[in-house]
Amino acid sequence: MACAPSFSKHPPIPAGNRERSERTAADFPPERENHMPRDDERKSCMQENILYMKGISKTFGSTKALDHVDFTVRKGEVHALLGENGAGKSTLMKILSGVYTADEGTIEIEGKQVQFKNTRESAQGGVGLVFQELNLVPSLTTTENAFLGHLQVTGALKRVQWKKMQDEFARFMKSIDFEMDPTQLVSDLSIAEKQMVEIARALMMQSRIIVLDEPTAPLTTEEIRKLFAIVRNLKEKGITIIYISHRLEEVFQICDRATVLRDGHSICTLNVAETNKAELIEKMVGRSMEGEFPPRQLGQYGEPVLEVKNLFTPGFLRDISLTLHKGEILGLAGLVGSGRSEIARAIFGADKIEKGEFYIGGKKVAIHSTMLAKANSIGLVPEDRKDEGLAVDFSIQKNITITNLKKTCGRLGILSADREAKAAEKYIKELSIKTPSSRQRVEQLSGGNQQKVVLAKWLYNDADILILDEPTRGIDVGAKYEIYLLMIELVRQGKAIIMISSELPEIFALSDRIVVMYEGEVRNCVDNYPGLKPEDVMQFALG
Amino acid sequence: MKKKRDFGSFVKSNIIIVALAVFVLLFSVSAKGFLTVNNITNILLQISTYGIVAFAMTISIIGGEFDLSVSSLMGFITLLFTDLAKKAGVFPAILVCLAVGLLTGLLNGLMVSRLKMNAFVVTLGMMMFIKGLALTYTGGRPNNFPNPALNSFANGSLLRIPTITWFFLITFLAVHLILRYTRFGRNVYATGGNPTVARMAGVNVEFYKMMLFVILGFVTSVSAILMSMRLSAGNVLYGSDLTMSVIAGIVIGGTSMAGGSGSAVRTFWGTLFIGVLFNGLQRLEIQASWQDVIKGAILIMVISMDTIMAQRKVRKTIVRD
Repeated sequence: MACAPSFSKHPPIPAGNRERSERTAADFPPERENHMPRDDERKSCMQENILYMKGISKTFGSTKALDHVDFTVRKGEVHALLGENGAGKSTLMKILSGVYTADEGTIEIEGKQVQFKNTRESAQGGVGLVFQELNLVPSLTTTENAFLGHLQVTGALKRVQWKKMQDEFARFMKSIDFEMDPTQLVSDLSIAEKQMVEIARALMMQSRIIVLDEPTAPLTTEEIRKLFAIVRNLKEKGITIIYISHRLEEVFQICDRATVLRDGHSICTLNVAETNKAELIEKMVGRSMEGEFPPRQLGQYGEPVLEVKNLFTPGFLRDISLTLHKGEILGLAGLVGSGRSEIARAIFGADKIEKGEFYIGGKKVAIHSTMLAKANSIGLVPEDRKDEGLAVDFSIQKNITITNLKKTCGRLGILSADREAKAAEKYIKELSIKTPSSRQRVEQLSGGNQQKVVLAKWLYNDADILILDEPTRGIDVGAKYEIYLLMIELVRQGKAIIMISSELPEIFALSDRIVVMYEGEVRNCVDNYPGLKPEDVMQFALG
Repeated sequence: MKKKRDFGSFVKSNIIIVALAVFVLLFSVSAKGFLTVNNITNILLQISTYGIVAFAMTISIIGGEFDLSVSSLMGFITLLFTDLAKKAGVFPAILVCLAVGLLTGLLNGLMVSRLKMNAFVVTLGMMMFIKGLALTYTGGRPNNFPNPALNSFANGSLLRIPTITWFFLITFLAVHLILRYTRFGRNVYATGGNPTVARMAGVNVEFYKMMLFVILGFVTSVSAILMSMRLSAGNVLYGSDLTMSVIAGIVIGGTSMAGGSGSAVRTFWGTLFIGVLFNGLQRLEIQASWQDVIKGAILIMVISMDTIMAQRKVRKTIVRD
């Protein structure tokens, strides 16, 4: 059986499913090549392998991040690298780019064995990386960033050839049909444009393989469309792309083949045209998922807990009124930039408001600081986990207890590390945060586990009203499901949740009511009744 | 995770203690009278006045801010104290001086936390302002204030430890406890580590930022009062090298200027190291100008070793809480 050997810690696949997966294996002969690379080499006259990572292993402390992983990429394909967070995707890519050194295994690029010591060497070797955290200098121009580290110079004085580089940059941008001023400061660019500069930088260094790590996470639908056009364009030019994403739809839109990693093992490589979403998810999580979303009884909520009346913010939000009920999940839909996050921040006291009233449990309250929001039992899980949600250098327990240090203090107001660890361990258990210790730095956790820590922060302070801004962004399928279950459990306990999400299916599956935003205004507020169609919501989101 | 306590890793994470031991050994052999009870007491005395301020500055740096104005504040307070003590009596003088220290800190703090001004600029301006004030106050002349009772208190000792050093040790203990075991301390770390995250967790970031300066102003004036008692004088020049020495001690101890990490214990070792270094070089009777050259070189060396070690060491996954 070529596929899904069950050496993972996941429960064994039930008999019914096993049958299915065997059939799957027979149906898709290309899977085999990953396990029998010689086959592939024989076919190499037709489809040449540009990258061949063989038997890669890497151990961090006591955890085996990668265990004899094979990864083969053909020249000129868009190859999806899939897996839950912690499956080993990033580690594999970091080994490819020289950030880490493999304990075992070899890497071949175009048939030649390579061993990069750092990203500079891998860049020279033709591997370009576009990571989630954009690595650009905001105070420099687009051209300067694109050529950073390999400026073109001339003459004995090594004078920098700005004009030449600007022309080259402009020419390149034109070649991928993207408009960008070569002298514009990067700080003035949108996230999508910044990403383009990163891609440009990779290509300026003559990269033959480009790794895109979650490139679409921060992009709008329109920007994603543009990005895909560029990816196809690059493919035509013979550039190979390794594409990491949690959005499986995208894999079907632009990828040729997909390799699934699970718990540090390579599970299989599939032709995208011959598989489907359910199968990919099954391979990723090692079990079949009933659906993407847990079932939820909608429309059963209690009395109002939070009322926002006629909220205005300077220059943006106009006349926002909404009501949140006990035990309700209120979905906030709308395009990126329509004012969803701004509502969240205004309710949480993080942004200044112009006017507007807040009522909590029917009582009028003033919320003009995050302290007051906290005192009124409101908690915000911000969109930007790493810069606003968590102090990544701090331990899990320090991050959790920061919302209510009083609870951590003993009789004399003395912080007790024991009490802190106990509190943290309670949430580690309840929310099943995967970590060896409550003193682990949150930096080392996967996205899903980090998000759980942010949630735990507010649960620790007993927040009754939770505002979750894109709670599942950049989180893998399994962790998403856990977050959904958690949300359902919280509202069952009588908490109320405002969920902001760009993914309509998520909004539809979980919300009792849906508020649609457009350009700083509430366009509509609808009950999520069974017959409601996404189009009904989207028409309001588009103006 | 089991705790490894081998010598190698101890050296790597405690460069400062190793460096201190090396220099103590070096000076004991080469400098006459270095390793005597008298001289050790002397070193403690030398570091105490500035050391008191170093602990308060440690809080500021952990909270992500720092204050240049303490150097001229110290000189100004010594003048103010000696002058007022002569005119109005010792206790009113102490009260006024402490109030002035608090107010200066409050002013700095409000400008930084409320008006979001840059601490470097604010405290640089404050430094010049106070310096000018001090110079106009007495026209640059030092004040003499011989008071036998105060003098014998400040120069006295208890259990063979000088009074000033007691203040130093008490401040050390207090700051250590505050940083490690109080909500205030934890919130200072959070504020310095990432102010946005702290704010989004409902921490009153502005208050903590302000308090960093208030504490520093207060502690500086305590230290200045002790200094003028000990020297029976006030002088605009007292404390002129305070900021630099204090920050050197903090950084060499291993507290990061980036904020969010560090401890009073680190500052203790750093300050002690600087004290030993300065004292040892004096005892070796090296020409004063060369002493500065050597001091600078050694400071850079120790800090670079620490930095190199930190880069080599794989980042610790488990944080010591």
